[in-house]
Amino acid sequence: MTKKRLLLVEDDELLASLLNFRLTKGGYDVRISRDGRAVKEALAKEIPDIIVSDIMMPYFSGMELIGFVRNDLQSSVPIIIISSAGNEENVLNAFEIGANDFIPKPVSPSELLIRVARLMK
Amino acid sequence: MNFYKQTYHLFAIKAPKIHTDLLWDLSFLFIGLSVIYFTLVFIHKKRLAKRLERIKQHKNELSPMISEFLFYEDDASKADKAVYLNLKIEIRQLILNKFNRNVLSDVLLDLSKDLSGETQNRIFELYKDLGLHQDAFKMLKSWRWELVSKAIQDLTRMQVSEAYSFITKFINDKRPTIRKQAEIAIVSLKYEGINYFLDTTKYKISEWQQLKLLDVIRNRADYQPPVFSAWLTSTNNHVVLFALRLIKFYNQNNANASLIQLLKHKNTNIKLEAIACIKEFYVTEAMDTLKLVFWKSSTDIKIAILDTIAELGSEDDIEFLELIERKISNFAVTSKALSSINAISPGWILPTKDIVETTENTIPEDLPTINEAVISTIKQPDSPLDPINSTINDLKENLGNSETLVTVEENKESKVTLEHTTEEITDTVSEIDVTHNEETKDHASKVIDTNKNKSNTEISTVNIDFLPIVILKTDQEQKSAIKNSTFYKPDDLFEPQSLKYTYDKKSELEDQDKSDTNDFWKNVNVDFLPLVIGNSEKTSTSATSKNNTPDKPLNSISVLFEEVTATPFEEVKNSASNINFESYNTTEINNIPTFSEEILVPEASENAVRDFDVIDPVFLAPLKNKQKERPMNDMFTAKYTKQQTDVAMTPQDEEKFKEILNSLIAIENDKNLEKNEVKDDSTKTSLEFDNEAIDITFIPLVTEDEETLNDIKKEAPEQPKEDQVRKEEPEFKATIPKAIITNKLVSTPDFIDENSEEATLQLLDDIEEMGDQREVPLLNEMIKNTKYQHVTSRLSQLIERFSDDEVVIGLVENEAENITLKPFNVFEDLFRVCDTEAKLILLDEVAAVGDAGDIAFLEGLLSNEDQDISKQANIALEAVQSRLLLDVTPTDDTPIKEIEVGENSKAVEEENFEEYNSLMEELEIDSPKAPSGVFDIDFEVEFVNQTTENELVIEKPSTKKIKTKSNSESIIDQICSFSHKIIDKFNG
Repeated sequence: MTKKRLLLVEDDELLASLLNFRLTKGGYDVRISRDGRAVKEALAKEIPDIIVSDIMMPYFSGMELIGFVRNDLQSSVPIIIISSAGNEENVLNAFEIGANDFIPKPVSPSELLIRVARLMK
Repeated sequence: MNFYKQTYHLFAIKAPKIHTDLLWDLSFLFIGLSVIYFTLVFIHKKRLAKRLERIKQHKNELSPMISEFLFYEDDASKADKAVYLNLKIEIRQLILNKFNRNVLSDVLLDLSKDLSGETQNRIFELYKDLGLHQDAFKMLKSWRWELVSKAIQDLTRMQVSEAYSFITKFINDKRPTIRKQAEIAIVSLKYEGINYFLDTTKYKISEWQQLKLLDVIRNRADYQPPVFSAWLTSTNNHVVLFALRLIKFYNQNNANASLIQLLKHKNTNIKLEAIACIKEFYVTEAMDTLKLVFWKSSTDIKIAILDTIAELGSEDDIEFLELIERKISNFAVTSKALSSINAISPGWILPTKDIVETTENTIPEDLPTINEAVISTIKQPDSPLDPINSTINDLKENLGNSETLVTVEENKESKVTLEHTTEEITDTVSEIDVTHNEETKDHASKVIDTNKNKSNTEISTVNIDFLPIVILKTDQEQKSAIKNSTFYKPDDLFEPQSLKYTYDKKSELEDQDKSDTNDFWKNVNVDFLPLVIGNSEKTSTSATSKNNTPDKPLNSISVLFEEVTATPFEEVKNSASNINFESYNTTEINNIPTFSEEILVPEASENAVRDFDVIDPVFLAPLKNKQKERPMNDMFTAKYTKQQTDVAMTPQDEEKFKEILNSLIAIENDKNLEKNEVKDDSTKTSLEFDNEAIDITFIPLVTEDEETLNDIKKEAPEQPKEDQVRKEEPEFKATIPKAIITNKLVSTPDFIDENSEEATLQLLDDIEEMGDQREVPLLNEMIKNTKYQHVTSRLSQLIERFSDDEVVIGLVENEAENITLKPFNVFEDLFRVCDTEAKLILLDEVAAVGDAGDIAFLEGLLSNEDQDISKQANIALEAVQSRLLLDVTPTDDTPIKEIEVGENSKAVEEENFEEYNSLMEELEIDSPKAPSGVFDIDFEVEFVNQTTENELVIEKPSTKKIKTKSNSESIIDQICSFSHKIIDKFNG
């Protein structure tokens, strides 16, 4: 059985590494992108089964990423947004432009895993 | 230009005479200085960047290690356990370096910010487990404020509650940054922290700080706030203010007297906060004090007081407010006073400005009649209702010569029916399209002012039959309706929504105008209308209630919405009579299949079960039930008058058991007799212990009876072979009373056997943990008395171990300068808690990196029951010893000697390594490949100076060291490659 591909977009290397560990342990094939440009490159090569992205990143914000995936790539791949800016405006905006879920920071890796699994169903 | 030259001559200013060489010298000097400056800046920046790069690199290397730790689970696989153990060893080695420790601390702090839940808790545990909080404690002693502040912040973030007592010292520190950090730390670390803080703080608590503290408190889980009114008596005004805010936040309305007293406080902020609390908690007792305080307060407080009076006051307070209005010149205050009066009693103060006097106004007499003033043109929509059309035409004829002022567009259908729903009425009214002009307005107003009576008469002549439900009940109501109607009240012409209607239900209409309406409605064909069923009561009720309040605007009528299907009455009637209720299969609902089981419990068994409440079956011997699993059918078909139960028990225990049972029965009987003396004999007998119910066959059981014991052991379930540690545990501890088996060597209680194998092992564990060489005689005695093989081996291990300690302690007495304490052995610590597989892995580690300190530990394992462990321990011991033998004894001239692990291994026998490799293959353990960089262990192996053959004295690590060569491969990889190297050497 092939593993589900997950693209993790997080500029904080420590957190990315930790989430990568947990998600890999949870049975996902995780690819990490540090910034917006890397995300674009990664998405140009292949579209993963799910995207977990931070909002605030260099070059390309999480919101722009959602727009890029939904409008430019015309893809309906599930997108989970992680952000420390978990105010109502951001959350609503994210959902409005096509995010499937929103997890405010600090994030619980176990919770993230469950949410990812739920969206993968 | 010439003008300026002619006008101004700068005689006074002259350029100083400076030697050109000096200028050059100065130029070179400044150039040199700037070069030096920029060079220094560049070097510093470079160094800083390098350091940051190094930190980043270390962080990246540490993060997978931390991830392993954070997400390690006890039920992990063998490989994961092996990796975990390796990491644990490595990380302990790693944090010996201060730089690494700082980086690790930073990593954990960063992660604690981004993570939550269980992972965050694990981070806190790891931080403390690795002893990183000790560094923060050291930083607390620093004279640099930024370090102290950071230390407090770190300890707070990592929830090190042990730091509480250290941080309390900084609560009144002169340095504000440290003080504020300490305040937050104290409140965060312990529930009672807020109490201590409010009790002891002497300094100002800023607004921002108050918010932060409140944020900390309210986010604490299961926080029970103290009674904050206790701090209203504080001498620190900031504490009082903060306490008032907390009182308000937590709604602690038990400090009314203090609040009233605080109204007299000098501090404006406290006064304002107290007023806010009084208003919040509705403290009406404070009214008098509020009035007293009012006159000498500032404007802000006055307004706050007036606001509170408006909230709490009654009409008695209006006099006071009027007084304020008269006496106070401040507009804001007087305005507030007036608004407060109106808040207490609405309409007490009326508007006075720009109000025109109307007492001298007269009513004009030459106003035209209503027919001249009001003309309506009614559009006729296509409708099948001829009678209605004719009625409308009649009306038009009546009003034919008048001007068109009001155009009414109506839905005829909705007008016709008397059974209008309220919704329809509202819609109709809202659809009224009203047009007007100034002339009409004036005219209409004249009509109202002059000819009220006349207009009443006139309107009564108008045929308004076409209006379905607008009925005037009485003359007075009729008047008011006319007055308020669209036609006669010009002011309302602008607001069609404010039209007011009075209407009644159908029956009343019929009473009033039977002759007209009855005839009319007889002719009307209303078959097309929907049949309204079952709502008559509600409609009539609402209609009646509306009738009682004729002036109520239509928009405010409460409407009951009901969806009505347009079905002819006859059809409905027929269909209702044709309903065949039998066609609905009601039996299906009753026949929903349910699964229930009826269990027959024989009376005897029932009694037996009841009696087990008072008998603790744990101490009983195992049931020797030959028929282990009886089929259910057999159980229910058999007559349960007697339950055969075989219990293995000694005759003494049998007697004791019977005694206990009889005494329990006697007690139970006595109780029941007391309760009800007159009782049926049959009831009494039921309370007696039914020996027939459980027939216990007592089998004499002694240690000599080996067969019985063997039988029991055979019947007992076997422990899983995988877990060797569990295998070591007594197998029959739950079923066989040890006191019986040991043939009563010691007279022990029936329930607890202190001589059991389990208890003895527990005792030995305690001795191992806390004991020393003084326990050896006791252990010798125990080894003589014990009959358990496992206990014997354990005892011998302990004796051996304590004997070693004795040697060491003997050395201490002789040589006080040497370190004599038994060194902490990381392997031994880990060895206790892991299973067999992990133990074997750990022994591999010892073989690879172990030193003299591990020899005693390995020797202790040689006599281990588990062959694999003892074998592996032997290999590890030989490996360590051979390595130590190869080491050149360091002299004072060569304190540090670099050796390569690979070369050391030459001395190790090839045979041992083959054995080691085969074992590794057997266990299917891959040599864990550590990530590059941080996993390259640069071990500082503690050197052991062998003074004599048998005496091992450990020296301080700092004095003599052996360094291993650091390269890209890990130790495990190097060891694994030994065999290849040796073969290569042999091959030249």
